[in-house]
Amino acid sequence: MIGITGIGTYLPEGRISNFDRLEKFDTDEDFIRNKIGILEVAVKADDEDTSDLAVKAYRDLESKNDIDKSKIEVLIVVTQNPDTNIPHTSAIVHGKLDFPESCAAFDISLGCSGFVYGLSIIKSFMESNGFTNGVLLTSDPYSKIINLDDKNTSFLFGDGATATLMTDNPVYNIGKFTFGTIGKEGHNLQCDDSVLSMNGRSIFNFAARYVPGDVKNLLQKNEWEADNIDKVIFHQGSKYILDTLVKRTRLPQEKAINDILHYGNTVSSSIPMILAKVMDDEENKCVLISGFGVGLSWSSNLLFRNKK
Amino acid sequence: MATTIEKLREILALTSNDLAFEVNETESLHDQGVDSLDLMDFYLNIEDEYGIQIPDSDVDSLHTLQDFVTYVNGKL
Repeated sequence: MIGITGIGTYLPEGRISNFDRLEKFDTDEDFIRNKIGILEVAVKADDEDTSDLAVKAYRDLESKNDIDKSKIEVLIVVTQNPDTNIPHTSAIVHGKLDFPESCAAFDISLGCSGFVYGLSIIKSFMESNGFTNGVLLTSDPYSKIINLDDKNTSFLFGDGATATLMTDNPVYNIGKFTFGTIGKEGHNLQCDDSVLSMNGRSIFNFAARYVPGDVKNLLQKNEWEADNIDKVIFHQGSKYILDTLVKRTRLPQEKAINDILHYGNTVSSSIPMILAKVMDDEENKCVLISGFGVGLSWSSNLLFRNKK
Repeated sequence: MATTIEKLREILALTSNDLAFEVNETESLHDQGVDSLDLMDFYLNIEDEYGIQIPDSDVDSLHTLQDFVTYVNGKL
């Protein structure tokens, strides 16, 4: 069975401080620190594009795992801010990394739920084709579409990328998934003319209402008890939504990870960015991951450490 | 049985515990220190408690605790 073998990450060096904008947005440090929970957002360099962030995440993956590039059979990039419309960003990454011609490469257009959906897609693609080596990349630099004068969005989103190695000798096996979409509410998180707009209240309500029920469904589907989860990684929208979800799902606060203080919400990279650290601890035998947002869509999964 | 105002204060206390029983009924909640995120939670909890929907178009008219009392009573 195909599962997660390793994860590489990349965060650009650039940062925009939210404290530098308190006066502009008529807010205070307490709100930034204790409600938004993001002190600064990561921002890519002007000469970095979506594919470049993905390549750097792959290089980190390579540095931590023994990878024979010639054996990679599939490369998927999750992004909604590609380098360009045509060709797809995964093809550009394929070229930059000089992957084998036999390797399949395609993009998935999803946002904050993208990593979890992506896991299902790459696992299914690999298993149905008898593949044993694949890479799932997430790279969705929202700095391309954020209006820095928009308080609703500019405090939140940061740039980053991840690369997840999928093989038949995994660290984490992948459990059963849940999925969902409310397309008629998609306009609440939308990009028009390259500018993102977000109805914060609608997105908050959506997450607060749907994620707790989804977590319950996930546990039932996997026949698993909440007490036997070691770590919970929700999509890192903001501290406020994370705290709200912990309360509403009744999962133990100490098991839910919040890691966005110094880089922000990296969209589809937010879950794997944390999972990369979580998987280093062998005590983390079962990890719940839950992505939700753009679409509006959601997907959750339980990861189970492989007994070796 | 709690009055609507008492119930709304209890609901407000779920997120703004230190302010819920101190806020003046006729002054803007935001001006009294209830921030935008706690207001979002307040709307959500009111919806859950009363089984009503507060559309975005109505939110702009809800500033004071008294506004919420009038609104909720009108919906019930």
